[in-house]
Amino acid sequence: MPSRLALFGLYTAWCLSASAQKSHFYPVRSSSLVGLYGSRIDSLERLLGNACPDTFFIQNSIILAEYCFYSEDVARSDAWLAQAEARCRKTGWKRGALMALRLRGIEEETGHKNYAAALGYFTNAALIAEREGWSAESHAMYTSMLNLCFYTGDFVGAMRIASKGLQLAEKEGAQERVARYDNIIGFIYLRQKNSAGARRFYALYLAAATRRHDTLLIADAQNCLADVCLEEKDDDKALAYLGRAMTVYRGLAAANRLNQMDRLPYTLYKTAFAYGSRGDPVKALGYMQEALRYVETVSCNRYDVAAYFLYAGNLYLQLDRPREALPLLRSGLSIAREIHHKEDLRDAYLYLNQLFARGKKFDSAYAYYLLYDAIRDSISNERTTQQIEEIGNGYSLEKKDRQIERLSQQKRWQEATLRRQLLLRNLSLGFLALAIIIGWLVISRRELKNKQRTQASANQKQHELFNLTAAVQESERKRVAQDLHDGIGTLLSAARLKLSALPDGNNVVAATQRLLDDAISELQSIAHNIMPASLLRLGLVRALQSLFDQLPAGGLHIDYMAYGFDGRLPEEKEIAVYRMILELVNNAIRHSGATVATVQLVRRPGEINILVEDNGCGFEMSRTGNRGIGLRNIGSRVTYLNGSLHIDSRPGHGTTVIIDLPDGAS
Amino acid sequence: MQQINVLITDDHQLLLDGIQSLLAEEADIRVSGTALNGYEALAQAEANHYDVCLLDISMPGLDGIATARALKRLHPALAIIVLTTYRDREIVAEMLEIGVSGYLLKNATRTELAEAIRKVSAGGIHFSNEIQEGILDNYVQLTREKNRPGSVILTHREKQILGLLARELTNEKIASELHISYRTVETHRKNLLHKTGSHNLAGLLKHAYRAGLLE
Repeated sequence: MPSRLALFGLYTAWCLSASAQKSHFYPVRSSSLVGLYGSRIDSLERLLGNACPDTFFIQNSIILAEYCFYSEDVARSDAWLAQAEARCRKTGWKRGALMALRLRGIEEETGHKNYAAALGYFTNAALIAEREGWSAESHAMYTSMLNLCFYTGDFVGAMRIASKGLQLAEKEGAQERVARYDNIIGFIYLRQKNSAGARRFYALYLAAATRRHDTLLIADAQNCLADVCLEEKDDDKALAYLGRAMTVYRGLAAANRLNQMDRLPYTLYKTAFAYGSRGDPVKALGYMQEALRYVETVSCNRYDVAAYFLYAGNLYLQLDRPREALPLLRSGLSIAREIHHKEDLRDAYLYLNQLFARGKKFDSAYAYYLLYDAIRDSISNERTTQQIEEIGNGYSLEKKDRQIERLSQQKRWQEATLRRQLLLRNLSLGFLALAIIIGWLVISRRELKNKQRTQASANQKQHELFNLTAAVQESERKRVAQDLHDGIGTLLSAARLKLSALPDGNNVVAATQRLLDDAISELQSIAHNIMPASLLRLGLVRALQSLFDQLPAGGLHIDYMAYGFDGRLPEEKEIAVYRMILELVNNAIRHSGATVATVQLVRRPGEINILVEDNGCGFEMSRTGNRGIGLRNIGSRVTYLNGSLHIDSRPGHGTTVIIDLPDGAS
Repeated sequence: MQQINVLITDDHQLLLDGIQSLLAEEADIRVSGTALNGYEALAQAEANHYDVCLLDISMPGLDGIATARALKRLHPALAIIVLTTYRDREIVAEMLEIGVSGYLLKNATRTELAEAIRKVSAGGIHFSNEIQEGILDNYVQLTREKNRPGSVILTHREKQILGLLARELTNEKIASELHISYRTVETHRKNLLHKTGSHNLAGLLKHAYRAGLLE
């Protein structure tokens, strides 16, 4: 259940303290709010007559636009906002520009759910605030930006913003803001599964809260520390923290002094989770039911509610009560769809699959399994991108290490020379000649060694470069093929469709249609050569089948077999194996004159064996000729995959190439 | 007149609009829903009744293959026509296995598209000419593979080596006999053991005699 845990703290990251900025709780948009805003809108519109001063006009037209937006009158909102922006440009009034950008951001975020665009607006607004030295506005924009980063899972971006905010807050000596950023950074570390880092910053947060004697802030900090304990599977300690926080919240709620009531269901949810992970689903369910009761009366954000529904559904499922689980899981699923939350979607599909499988409705179970499988793949693909980035980072780190090593080598060499000079001075002239000879020997040997070492490090560097280039190249190829297919391909298909709407019998139309057909099929084959669709969509084994079916192999007959490939390999590995086999088969077609080739893939526990053999002319191992570059490339790929390559060929007796790769997936 | 309800799924609005306007002229076909991705298609199919679904393959997230599989499981009566530019044989084969009723390339004319929709909604099937040729090839190949005896298929080289092993030759002897390296023989031996599920040479030979792999 680790992904559930990942959601924890989203709440705490934005409900930071009793007096935290309320900037992120926008009113719910609804046409029923027209009544509430209607009178204000009317009176504001009357106010904004002709001859009012620029700043007055800008400020109030933005407020007006915001009211219109909340009462779902988007067109009117847009019109007023555009007027405000025009006046801002004319007068160069910075505060007005910032207000307008902020509203644009809010509209993108809550209206169109276009988080990238919203982030753009907020970033520009923050730039103005930073340049003008308006700290309150800077922090408000950081808050909005941070929330977007959390929505989209961009923790690198979040970290950048949070540390900027922390620096600013420390410079101002604003204790409460510092605590707030400590909390956010703790949360980011937690999401990165770095519980030590999270604990460090949360402890700072707790210390600040204790200094201020703010019971609510202390409770919030304890709530955060509970997250760390849950991450570390220390359920007892988590429960202790949560119990203390809950007592404070309940007390404040009873006294009507808790302004963000969704703390209650959220803390109950975490308590339930702690009991659940302790293996006590009955007790967990009790807490969850209480949490769900709050959802009906307290306004909560959709992210949390989706998690509540899914977790409650899961608990019912564990207790074998599918009838109660189903509606909860369905509600959770529909919210997850609405907010585009991939991990929630994945879990919802998995639970629904389990539910239907238990009810022996295998059709539905299977359908949900497919949905689960597809989305799980798309999540892990995103991880691959991260891995590539890590390779890149690792590369520059190692480069630095090698530089350090080289420097210390130099230093050692200098020290040795110094010692030798001392020795020479103390020796008599008679030994001078001998000493010179010995010295020369020593130096030349050392040089030789150094040369070897530099050579080895150059090889190593070249190898790393190859890996990096290969990884980047493949992801680039994938993108280009996809772009060709989805971009130009789609335009051509659309043009083709438009033409076919014309009546038949026109020669020019018919000829143009044929040209378009040729263009489409040409494009297809280019895209296919760059990155075959079947490789990405159906996997290595079927892509090879497709390749050998369609390969113009001349007089070569290819026998192809694959054993033990029930599941797929990681995409990166599938692409590498595909390219290697393509290269080997091409070699066989071009250089060997073979009539039969065998390509066999065998997957044994822990390893994959690839065998390509032909009955062609073979070659002298020392004279690879034109095959050389291709084989070297294969060698590099194999080394990168930590495998081994064996080439067995003799003139007149065919060629066998054996590649063994570790199979980490099993 | 009974109209055929059609759901179009394509991640490009341009194509959705194009197909929709083409079909607008066919009185008996009604495009009653569009979806920009697989998830939307599943949600649409759950909410409304459709007779035919036109489905693109290349879509972000849930692609056409996964969508077709899910649609067929959840709504077996819904006829699916794949409308794509992909003509990769394995993809066509996969779609056939899933049970789609039609496979059209995007260069289909209006008449062909309308004809296909009518045919599949009446329980028939329709495939583009190019695809039909491919299917035939594939069918020949499939039957050929199914006709092979036993579940273990050995390569020519593996059979050679099995024969020499039965004659109690050592790896070195086999290597020099076949003019290949020791390492190559070793690999073949390992693969033979794995493919036949045997743990040692004796087991391998026993299996080989039983399955008639040795002449």
